[in-house]
Amino acid sequence: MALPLLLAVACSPSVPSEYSERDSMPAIYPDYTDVTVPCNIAPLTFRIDDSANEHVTRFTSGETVVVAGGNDVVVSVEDWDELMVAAAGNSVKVEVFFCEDGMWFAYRPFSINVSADSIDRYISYRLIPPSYVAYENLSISQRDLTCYNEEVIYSNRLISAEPVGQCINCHAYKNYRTDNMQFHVRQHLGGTVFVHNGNVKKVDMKTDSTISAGVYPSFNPKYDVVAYSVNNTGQVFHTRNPNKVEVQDKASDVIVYDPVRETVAHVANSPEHLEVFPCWSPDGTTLYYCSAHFEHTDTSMAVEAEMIIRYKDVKYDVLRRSWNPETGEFGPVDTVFVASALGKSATFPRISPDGRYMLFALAEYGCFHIWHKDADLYVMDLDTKAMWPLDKANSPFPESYHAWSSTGRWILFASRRDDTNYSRLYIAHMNEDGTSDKAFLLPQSTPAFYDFFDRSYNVPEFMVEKVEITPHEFAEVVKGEPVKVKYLRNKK
Amino acid sequence: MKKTTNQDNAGATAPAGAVMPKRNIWTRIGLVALCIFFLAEWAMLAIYDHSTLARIEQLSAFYYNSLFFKETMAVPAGFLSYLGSFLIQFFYYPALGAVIYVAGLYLVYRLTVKVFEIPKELTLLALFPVVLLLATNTQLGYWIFYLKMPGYYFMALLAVIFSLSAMLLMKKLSPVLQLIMVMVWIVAGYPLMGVYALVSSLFMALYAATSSIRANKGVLLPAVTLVVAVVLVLLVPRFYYNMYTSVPYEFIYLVGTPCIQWRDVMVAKVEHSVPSYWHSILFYWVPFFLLVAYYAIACVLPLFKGRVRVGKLLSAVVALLAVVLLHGFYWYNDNNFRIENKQNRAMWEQDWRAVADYARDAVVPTRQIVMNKNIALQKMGTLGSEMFSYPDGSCEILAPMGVHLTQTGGKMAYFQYGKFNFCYRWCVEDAVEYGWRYEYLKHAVRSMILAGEYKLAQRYIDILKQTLFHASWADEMENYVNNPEIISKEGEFSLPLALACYDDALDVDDSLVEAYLIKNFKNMYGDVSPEYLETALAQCLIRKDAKSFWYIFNEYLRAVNPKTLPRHYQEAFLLFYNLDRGKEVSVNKEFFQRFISANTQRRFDSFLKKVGQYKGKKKEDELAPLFKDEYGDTYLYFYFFVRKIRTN
Repeated sequence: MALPLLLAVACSPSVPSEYSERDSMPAIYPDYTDVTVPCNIAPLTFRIDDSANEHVTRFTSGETVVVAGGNDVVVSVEDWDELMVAAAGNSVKVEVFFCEDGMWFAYRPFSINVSADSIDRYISYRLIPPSYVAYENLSISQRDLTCYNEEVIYSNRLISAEPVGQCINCHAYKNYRTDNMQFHVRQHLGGTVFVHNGNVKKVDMKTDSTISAGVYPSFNPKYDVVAYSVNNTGQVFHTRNPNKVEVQDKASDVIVYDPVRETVAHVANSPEHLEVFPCWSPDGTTLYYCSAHFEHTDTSMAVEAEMIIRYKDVKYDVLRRSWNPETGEFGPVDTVFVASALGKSATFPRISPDGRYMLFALAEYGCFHIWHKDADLYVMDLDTKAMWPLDKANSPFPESYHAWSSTGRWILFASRRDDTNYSRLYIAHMNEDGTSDKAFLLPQSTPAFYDFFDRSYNVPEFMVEKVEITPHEFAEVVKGEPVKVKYLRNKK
Repeated sequence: MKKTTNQDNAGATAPAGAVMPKRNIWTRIGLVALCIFFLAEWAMLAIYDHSTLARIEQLSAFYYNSLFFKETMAVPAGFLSYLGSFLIQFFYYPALGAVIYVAGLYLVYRLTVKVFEIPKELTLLALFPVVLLLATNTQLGYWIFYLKMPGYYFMALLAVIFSLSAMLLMKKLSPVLQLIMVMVWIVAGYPLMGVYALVSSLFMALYAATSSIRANKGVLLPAVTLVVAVVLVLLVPRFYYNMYTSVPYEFIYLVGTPCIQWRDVMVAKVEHSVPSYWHSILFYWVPFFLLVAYYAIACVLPLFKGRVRVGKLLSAVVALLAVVLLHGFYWYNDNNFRIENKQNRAMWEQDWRAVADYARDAVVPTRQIVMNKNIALQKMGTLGSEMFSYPDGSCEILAPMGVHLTQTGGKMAYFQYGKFNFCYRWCVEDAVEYGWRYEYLKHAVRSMILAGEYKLAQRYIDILKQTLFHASWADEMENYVNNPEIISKEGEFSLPLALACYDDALDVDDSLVEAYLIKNFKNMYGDVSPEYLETALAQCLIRKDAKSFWYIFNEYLRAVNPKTLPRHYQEAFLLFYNLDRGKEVSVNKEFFQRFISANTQRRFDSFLKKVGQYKGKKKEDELAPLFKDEYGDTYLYFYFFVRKIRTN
């Protein structure tokens, strides 16, 4: 018993009694300097990237002091929770001390701002290697933000592997809850796995009148309908541009699905437009979506060949149509943001829970901004139509796949800023005026996690509760026969 | 301290005299045979399969971090996979890796003898499992690129060692403890060893039962152990299925083997022009089945102890036959496969002369061998004068599944031809399928450094730093990331950088590397370098495309302004000029005087004369051998007699 006790005492870090101050900030990864975090977030672990041989880090909030030793700064959940309680609505002061040649120094301290706005407890995302066409090990997983627990919602390895493989994508929830949710399974045993009021079914949403099964989904938060895009998608590869790949829709439309009657109907299907990324307003009476005008002008070549040559001409605007829940009819098209007029392309419109702001990704061209280095997050005030970039959240690398928390006080998005190729999840606090504070990287139990983790996070979504259906239960549904939907003609 | 066996005791009590020397001779012969056997196996692996072992190491991964451990352990049999991956890294030095592997084989031999108490005069029969284990690896061939089982090479070996050790331990336990041990072995063993835990637990229970019967001890408890083992073997995988999200239900009883891949569905699409047993996926399972059969028989042998007699000579002959037959059938001996791997190693070592020389060892080379050779010749500046003086063609790959250049040599080709995005793309695509192997990481690092994406390159450098044998290479690459100005001064990078002189375009290769490169170099987007033009010209000759030849040839002359023209370009010029018959191309006399050597002109004329002699008298395939000796090193021979090239 004596030895462990001795070791525990010996290893317990303490702040040096004497040290000199250095007028520089510590280089830490992830960069948590001056970020704003929710009061219920898991401990932020980080690594100090310098050549010093000893480190001590002191976290201070009011009377609460936590000291951590070592190059990897890891604070226990209990200590962290105490800090968060003490700092809610204020900040934690972080001081990093380091030892060089037997002398102790202190970097300039930094703050971790702690918002009193708590964050939804769960998020879910698809974990996928940043590959182009290969998919072998995909999962849709859920994470408890108050700790590091991660669970698989569904994995494509449960059913099969190449050459009868499965792609899985586009998970979505109704009102941040999991009793109405969905995700798609492609290729082998394909279909949409749909949870409707707690009951799981597999739906075949492809009809003779639609160009594909449902793709990008949006649950109406108030009514029992789901909007989808239907897409004919392909990929082509840059020979030397660092963007590396273009994901293009040769054709795309928007449909709505009625999970009770098992019907689908078109909302937007202009042959000269590519309509995609539907998103319902919080009151459920307006459907936002993106639309790009693209005419097949050179009939000597196939449309996809022309699109490859003119790929920079594909620019998406944001449109919307009102919807009458009683008749199921859509109103006329209303233009929300003509990004193409600015020479830009706007994608993934997401409306804040209070209905005031539209969050979207903006880049020079195209629809798949997670591969576009110039892609940034923008916010538009839907009342004034004023828009601005989220400067404190953006980076010189792609930002996309954004989502609002249920309170509208936090956004979650994917960014490739860490190493330019792997999408990592960042969380930013949103202020009342539609600006954001500095975003922080989703914390992990060890700072080295992202150095080695070889999958990207995409389509992150907030949830207020976890998915309780097990992956194996989903797998059994996937193995079963799908419900075939019918196409309704006059629903426009 | 050496333990004595029953046989030793019997020998000790026998009268001295004529018997003892005879036994010593047999013992010595056996020992010598064993030494020769294991030494030979080591030599076969370390020398004959040197390049294969080195490539297996390149296609493996072991990282010294907790996440790698966690991810590897997240599948049943993950423990075997982790240990196997750890050991494979020593194939970096094939001789060392082979020592470790053969030491493992020897351990299997010793444990087999010990566990099953094989009489001394029959111990050579314990070489059976050794040869079978070896066969599970030596049969692989191109599967080394496609197996999705990290650590495969050592997994079966380790599993057998662990299982035999457990059986050895179990023999010393009481029947009750044996029952407990079997239960623990299945429940705790399945996550660690997958199917090996299941099979070995059945063997443990079976052997306990037969030994008990043989010893006339109580049979009830051993019988219960056997029944419990069977029941647990059936139930435990079902239980664990709900704890893993990485195994399809239909494979829960086979995890730890390549059961997902070694199915007909993997090979159904491949059409082979030449039949071979290597095309049958069932063939690859045979060593595993025989291994199970061997130990199953060994487990029930106690029941027949004393009733079956096998002579020493017979056992030696049987063992010898097994070794010869199994090695004969199960040692993948495709010469092209070895040449490709040798070339790959030489390319990483920048030994370009060796890369080209290896290509001479092929009778009919694969396209990869030809491409590697051409890259090497271009590096040495002799492409235009040497490229058609090597064996040429497009030999079919000897494998049951579709083998694509993208997985074998495509990344190297893309890198050397300056297609950094495509090189990187296939690193990522293959990493999805097979994990981030060292080779992929190294290609990713180099391609992203030359593409100027240093942040991304640094990511992979940092991962390589967590390896035993590639960390120093990673340090070298990090130096380029930290000092980008020295990149262009590095000879290794000069050709790829010179070839990366094209404008960006959106493109697809459809997994056809050579076909894509040929098409791409022909198109020449933007201003291109002399090296690019030479590559384009060479690709033109491979394609036998006269129309493109004239355009690129003109550009080549303009940009390179050579003092002399490499021999193959002279030959191509004469050939295409002759075929054109003045319709499209006109050339003045000065050009001939300056660029066409008298020797080339003489050989061309004599070639035409010889063709004229045989015109209408012989078929094309009959003509080829008649021209091979005299003109086999010319473009003329390639153009007329190397046909049906299938680029891939």
